Amino acid sequence: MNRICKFRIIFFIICFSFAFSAGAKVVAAISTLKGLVMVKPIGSRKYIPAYKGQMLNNGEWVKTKDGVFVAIVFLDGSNIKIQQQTEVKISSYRMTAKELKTNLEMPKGQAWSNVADQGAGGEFTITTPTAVASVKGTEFDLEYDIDKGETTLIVLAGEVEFAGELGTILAGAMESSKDGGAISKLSQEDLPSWQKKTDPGWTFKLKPDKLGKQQTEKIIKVGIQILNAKSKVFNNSFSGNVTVNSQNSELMVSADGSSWSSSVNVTINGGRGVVQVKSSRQGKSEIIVNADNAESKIIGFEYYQSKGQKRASKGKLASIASKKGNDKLSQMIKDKVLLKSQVTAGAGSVSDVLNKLETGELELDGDPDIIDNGDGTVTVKMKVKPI
Amino acid sequence: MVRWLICLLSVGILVSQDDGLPPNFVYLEPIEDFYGGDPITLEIIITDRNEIEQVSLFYRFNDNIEFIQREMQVSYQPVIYNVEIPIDEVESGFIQYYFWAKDEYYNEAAWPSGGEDMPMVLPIYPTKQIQEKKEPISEIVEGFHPPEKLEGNLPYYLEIGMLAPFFEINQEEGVPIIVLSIYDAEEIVALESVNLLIDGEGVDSFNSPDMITYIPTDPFDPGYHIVRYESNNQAGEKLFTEFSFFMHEKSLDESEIKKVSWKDKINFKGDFGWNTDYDPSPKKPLDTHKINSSVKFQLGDYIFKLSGLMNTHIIDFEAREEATHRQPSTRLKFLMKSPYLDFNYGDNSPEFSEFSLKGTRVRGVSTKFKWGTWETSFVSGETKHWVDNGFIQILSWDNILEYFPGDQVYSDGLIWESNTINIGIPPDTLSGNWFLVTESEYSLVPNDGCTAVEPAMYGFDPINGGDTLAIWSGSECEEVILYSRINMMTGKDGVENGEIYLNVEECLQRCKTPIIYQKGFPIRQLQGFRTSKDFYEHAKFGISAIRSWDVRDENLTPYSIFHEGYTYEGNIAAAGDFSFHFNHDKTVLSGEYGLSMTIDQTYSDTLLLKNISNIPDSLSLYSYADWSGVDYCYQNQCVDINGDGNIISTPEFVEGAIENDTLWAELTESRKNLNNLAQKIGFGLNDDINGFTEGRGVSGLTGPELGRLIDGGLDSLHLLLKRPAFKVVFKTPIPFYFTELNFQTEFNQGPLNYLSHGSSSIQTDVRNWKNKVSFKIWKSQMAFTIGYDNQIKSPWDPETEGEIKRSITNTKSGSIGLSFRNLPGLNYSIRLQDRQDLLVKKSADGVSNSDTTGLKQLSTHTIAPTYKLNLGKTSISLNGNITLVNDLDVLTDTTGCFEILNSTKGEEWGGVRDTSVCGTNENLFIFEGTNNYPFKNSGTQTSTYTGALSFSFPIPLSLNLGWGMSTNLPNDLRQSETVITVFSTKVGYKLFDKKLNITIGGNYVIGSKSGNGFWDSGEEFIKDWNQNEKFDLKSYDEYDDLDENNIWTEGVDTLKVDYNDNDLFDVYGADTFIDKIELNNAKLTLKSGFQYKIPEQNITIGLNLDYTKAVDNLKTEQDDPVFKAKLAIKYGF
Repeated sequence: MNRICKFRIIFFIICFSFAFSAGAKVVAAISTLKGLVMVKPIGSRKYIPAYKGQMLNNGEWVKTKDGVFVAIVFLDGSNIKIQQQTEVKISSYRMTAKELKTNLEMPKGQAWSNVADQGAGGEFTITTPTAVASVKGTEFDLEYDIDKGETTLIVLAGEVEFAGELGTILAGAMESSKDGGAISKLSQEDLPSWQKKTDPGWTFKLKPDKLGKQQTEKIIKVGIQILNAKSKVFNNSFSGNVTVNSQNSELMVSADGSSWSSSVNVTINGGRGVVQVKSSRQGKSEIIVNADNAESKIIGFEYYQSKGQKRASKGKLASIASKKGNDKLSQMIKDKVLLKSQVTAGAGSVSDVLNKLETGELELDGDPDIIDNGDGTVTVKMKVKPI
Repeated sequence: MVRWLICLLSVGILVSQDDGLPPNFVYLEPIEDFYGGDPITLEIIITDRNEIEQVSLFYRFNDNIEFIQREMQVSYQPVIYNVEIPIDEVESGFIQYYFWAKDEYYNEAAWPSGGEDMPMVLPIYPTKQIQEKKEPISEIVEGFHPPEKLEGNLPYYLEIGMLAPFFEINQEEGVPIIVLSIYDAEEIVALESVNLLIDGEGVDSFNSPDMITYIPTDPFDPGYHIVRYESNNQAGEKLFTEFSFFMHEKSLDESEIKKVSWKDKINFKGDFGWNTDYDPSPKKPLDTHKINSSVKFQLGDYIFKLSGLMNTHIIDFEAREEATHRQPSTRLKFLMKSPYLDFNYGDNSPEFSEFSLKGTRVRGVSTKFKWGTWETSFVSGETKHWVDNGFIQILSWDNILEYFPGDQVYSDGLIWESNTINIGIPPDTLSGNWFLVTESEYSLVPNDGCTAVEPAMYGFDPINGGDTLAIWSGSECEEVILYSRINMMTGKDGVENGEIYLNVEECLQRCKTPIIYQKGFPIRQLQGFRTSKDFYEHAKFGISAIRSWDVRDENLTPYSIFHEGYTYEGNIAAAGDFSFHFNHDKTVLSGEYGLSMTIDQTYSDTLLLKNISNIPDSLSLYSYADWSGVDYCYQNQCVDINGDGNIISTPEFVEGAIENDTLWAELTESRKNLNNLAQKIGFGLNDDINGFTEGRGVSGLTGPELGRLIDGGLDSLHLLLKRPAFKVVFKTPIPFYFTELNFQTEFNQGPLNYLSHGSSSIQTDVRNWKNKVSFKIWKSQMAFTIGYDNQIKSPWDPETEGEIKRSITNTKSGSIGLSFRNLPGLNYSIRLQDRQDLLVKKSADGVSNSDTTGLKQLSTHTIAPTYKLNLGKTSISLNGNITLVNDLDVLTDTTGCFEILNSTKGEEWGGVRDTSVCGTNENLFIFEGTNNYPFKNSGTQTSTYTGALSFSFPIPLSLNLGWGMSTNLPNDLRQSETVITVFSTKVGYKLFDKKLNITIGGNYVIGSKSGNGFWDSGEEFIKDWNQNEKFDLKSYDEYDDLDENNIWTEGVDTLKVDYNDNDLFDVYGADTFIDKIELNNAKLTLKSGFQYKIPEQNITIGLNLDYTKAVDNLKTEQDDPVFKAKLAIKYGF
C-alpha cells in the first residue's frame, strides 16, 4: 500500500515562504496608470512593477517616478490620483461595506483626492512629514515639497481639516494653506490641473504563441502590439523600447533568447515587438509590459514539470549520489519517484544545477540534508558552490 | 381523521386554565420551489394546551424593510395552519419569514424564536429570466433604452457595489476598468466560483474576497452595458447581481434611432397569468381560478402600470355562491409614478405611519406629492366593500297561487310543504295535500308588520272573566287573558283593527316570517392625509390623520331585528411621528404619538346630550306612560282588574326634560352642534364615546375623563397625555476597536381603546420595553446577542372602584453564534421568562392593592448546529435545531389531597389515605409535597428536535432530508406525553438547460399520545363492580347498620344492595378499565412540482400535484385520500 509513497521523493525542496497575511486585506485597486508604477507588497523589501487593475492591500507602498502617474480607487469609492515622483503608503481598514478608515502616508510628492462621503464609520487622512489632512466627501490636492519640507493643501470642493506645524485650520473650497498656516483664497487659475493629464497614451496587446500549460524551460514567444490607450486601435507608427518585468525570479524574459533575466527592454518597430519567456519552476507566474506614457499590461503563464524532466532530474541525482559515494542518499532515492524540484536560492534551473554538478562545474557544499517527512516522502536539500 | 385531530386538540381542553406556555411549533419545510408571481403556500403545525387564538405569518421579500402580517387559517386538520401569499405580492429573489402564534391567554411565541431578527430565508426563483429592478434607470439618450430589469438575489449580508466605471462615461475616456467592491462579512462566497460577465459574456477578472477588477480588452459600444456578478455560496446556491453603465457616443446615428420599435420606445412590458387549483378537501373550494395580468410602460419620466387579478370558481357552485358573501378578492390597480406626483387608482396599500395607516388595502384613489424631501399624501376609498346579504323567505299561503310538490308556504305560524299540485287548498294535516315541516333551516323572525300592544289597554289578566287572546309584545307573540277586546283609550275593537289576535298562531302568521339570512357587509370608507418633511436629511417629521366610517345601509337588514347584527363604527386616528437619523441611517431615534376616537354609531346619544346640556341624571329626556296597575275603564265604567280595591283609570306619565323648554332648547342646540361636528368628521357622536372598556371612545380616556376634558377645555388637555399611544425607538451602532456594538431599545404602549381602521397591528392595553445588544467578533465568526424585554398587560389601575387583571412579563434572552470557517457552526440561545399575574383592586376610597394570582417561570434553550462539507463536488449541508422548554408554576402547592384513579399509583407514589383530611373518597391521597408526585409542578416540559440534511451535486440535482419531533410532557404524572414526529424529503432536478425543473418530495407526520395509566372520564370499564360508572379503588355492598357500629356485623346487619347476588357482604378491589390511547394517527403528503420555461416565447408553465392520506388508527373508518393539483401558466409580452 505504501508502494506509491515509497517511490516518492521530494527533491530540492526549498524552505517555506511565509506569507505575511496579518492586515493584508485588499482595500483598493489601480484604476489607471501611466508609465512604470511600482508597488512594494507587504512583507517585501523591493518594489515591483504594477499593472492596471492590480489590487492593493493594506500596508503596501506605491511609488511613481518622473512622468509616471497612477489613479487608485478605494473600496469606499474614493478616487486618488498620485502625481509623478511621489511615494504613498496605504493604511486602510474596512469598517463596513462602504466605510474605510484610510490614512495615506506621503513622505514625498503630491496627491489629488476625491473622497467619497463615508458616514460616521469612515475616515480619510493624508499624512505628510509636516501635516495631516482629514477629510470627508471632499476633493482636494496635497503636495509635500521634500526640498522645502513644506506641505501645501488646495481644496477644490468641500472642507478639509488640515493640521500642520503652523497650526490646525479648516479649509473650504477654493482655499489653500501651507502646513496649517494662514488660509489663502484661490482663483480657478490657481487650481492644480495635473490630475486631468494622467491618462496614458498607449497600451499593449500581448499575444503568446502558445496557450495553456507549458513544460518548464519551454520558451514562449509573446507578441507585443502598441495600441492607442483610448481607442484600442493598433499604432503602427510607434517605435521605441518597452520594458518587460517578470513577477518572480524563476520566470525569465529575454529580448532575443540569448540572455535571460527578470527584466528586459524590448525594441518595438512599427508598433510590434516580441519578448521570450521561460520558467524553471512549475506553477503560475506573470510578466508586466510597460513603457513611458503607457498603460502597463500583465499576462500570466502556467508551467509544469513533465515526467521526463522529473525522471531526468532523478537520474542525475542518483548519478551524483553514486559518484560522490553518498550511499545513504543513493539508498534513499532508490525506487522512488520525483515529485517536484526547485531552486530556492540563487539563479538557474534545477537541470542546470544538476548538469553542472555532474560535469563538475559545481560541487556540493557539505552533505545533503535528508529529511523524512513521515508520509512516505523525503526531502533532499543540497547546497552547491562553484569549484 | 377528524377524531385524531380532536384528540390532539383535547390536549388543550384537558387543562382549561391558563397553562402559561406559549404555543409549540413543528415546522414543515416547504417541499416545492417557489417562483415569482406564483402564490406561496406555507404551513406549520402548532399545538397548545390552551386554545390557539391567532396564528400569523410575517414575511417580506428581498430588501423590503417591513414585514407583512398575514393571518393563518387552520386547515381541515385542526393543528395544521396554512396561509397563501397572493400572487401579486410574490417577487423573485428571496423571502424572509417567521411564524407567530398566541393562545387564548395571550401566551405568544415566534418560530424561529428570533422572530424578525432571525427569519427563515427561501429563494424565490424568477419565472422569467429576469427580475424587476427596484429603481428605474432613466433613459439617458434617446434611442438607447435602459435595461428594464436587473437581476439580483443577494442576501442582505452580502453587499456588492460597482466602484468603476461611473454610471455614465464617454467613449473619449477610453476603455473603462470594471471594479466591484465585495463585502462578504459572513464569508459565504466560494471565491473559486466567482464569475464576472459583461453583457452576458464571461470574462477573466482579478478576483479577491473584497474586490473584483477587470480590464476590458476592447472598447464598449455606445449604449447600456450590464455587468453581472455570479458566485456560489458555501452551500452551492447561486448568487448573482447586476449593474449597468452607459457609454456615451459622440453623436448618435439618427437612422439607428428610427429602428427602435414602439415597445422599446415606451419600455412596454406586460404579462398574463392563469392559476388554477383543484382541491377536494372539505371546506375548500373544489376549483379556484385566478387570472392576472399587468402592463407597464414609460413615457418620459412618467411610469404607468396597470394590473388586475380575478378570482373565481367555475365548477364549485357553492364556493362561487359563498364568495359573493365575502369581501371581493378581485383586484384592479392603476399606478402612475413621476418625479413630483405618484397616483394610484384601484386597490393599493398606502402607508402613512404605524398609528394611522399601515397595511390596510384601500380601494380608491391615493396620491403622493413630492417636492424634494417634502411629501404629502392623500387617500380616499373603501377598505371594506359592499357585500349583499343572503336572504331567502317563505311567503304566506295564498289561495290563488298554484303550488307544486316541494313548494313551501307559511301558514298559521307553521311551515308547510306541498305534496301535490295545490290551488286554493289551505295547508293542514287533514287534506293530505300538505305536510308539516317540523325541522327547517328557516327561522321565524319579526317582520316589522305588527305594533307592540300594551295589554292593560284591554284589561290585562283580570281576576274574573276575560278571553284568551294573543298580542305582539314587540319581539314575540304572547298568549294573554284580556278583559275586553275594546281598547279603553280608543274604543276600537282590537281584533278587528289587528292589534290583538285570537290565538298565537294567528299572531305568528301576522307578525313573523320564516327566512334564511346571511349577513352582508356595509361599505367602510377611509380618507387620510399625511405630510412629512426630512430636514437636512437628518430630521424627519410627519403628521398623519385618517377618518373612517361604516356606511349605514338599510338594504342589508330586511327586518329591524337584524340591525343588532351590525356595528357601524366611526373612527378617527391622528398621529405625529419623527425620526432623527444619522450615520447613514444607522443611528436612529424615532417615535410616534397617536390619538384615536371610535364610536359605534348604533348607540343612542341620550346620555351624551344630557352631559353636554348639563341635564341632571334624575331627569329623563323623554316622557312615557307607566301602565302598571292600571285598571280597565271604558265609557266611565271601570273594572278593578287586579282586585286590589283601587281603581286606577289612567297610566302614570313620567315626564322628563322634554317638558322643560329651557333644557329642551339646550338639548336641541347641543344636537345641532353634534350634527355639525358629525358632518366634519364623517360620523355621528353618541353615548358610545364613553365606551372605554369596550375599546371605543377617545383613546386613553374613560367616560368621566372625557367628560372632564369636554368641561375643562384646554386645561384638561393634559388628559390626552394620560394614557397615550406612543412608540419611541432608538438604535445605534457603537464602534469599538475590536467590534461594533449594535444597540436597540424600544418603548411603546397603547391604551385599551386605541383603534385605527387603517392599521390592524397596534397592540392595545399593553406597555412594552424591549432592549437588544448584539455584536460580532473575530471577523464575525462569533456573534452575541443579549436582550431584555418587559411587558405589562393592563398597565393602568382602574379609575374607579373595581378590579382588573394584570400580567407583568420579564424576558431575558441571550444567544451566541459560532461560525468559524471550515468548522461546524453552532448557535445557542437562552430565554428566561418570569410572568406575574396580578389582580389589582381599587377600593371606594381610591386605594389600590394587588394580589398575586400567578407566578410562572419559563426557560427556553435552543441549540442549532450547522455543518457544511464538500465530498468532491458534492456539497452536504446539515442543520439541526433542539429546543427545550420548561415551565414552572411557582405558586403550585404539591401538598394536599389528589385524586389518583389508579389502583396502585396512589400508594406507590407515597400518598396516604386519611379520611379525616380528604374525606371518605377512597381515590383521594394526601401528598406532602416532599417528592415529585403527582406533580413536579403544574407546567410542562416541551422538547422539539429538528434536523435537515441537504445535498447539492455537480449535476443539477438537489436532495433534502428533514426530520422533526416535538414532545409535550405535562408535569402532572397523570397525563401522558404527546409526541408529533415529522419526516420530510425533497428531490429536485433540472433538465433541458435548466428549462425544466422537477421536484418531488413528501412529508410524513405521526401523532401519538398513549394511555396515561389512569381512568379518565368516558373510558370504558372492564369491571365496574358497583356499576356507578365511576372508578373506585374499593367498592362495598350496602347494608343496614342495625347495631350501629359502622362495620358489617354478620348475622346482625342486613344487606340492602348485594352487587354480586351472593347473599354475602363483599368488599371489592379496584375497578378495571381500558386505558384509552388518546392519539395514534399519521398523515402522508406527497408533492411533486414541474416548472417549464420557454424563454423565447417568455412562457412559464408550472404544475404541482399533492397527494394526502391521513390515517387514524383509533377508528375503523378512514377518510379518503385527498388529491390536489395546481396549474400555473404565465406569458410575458
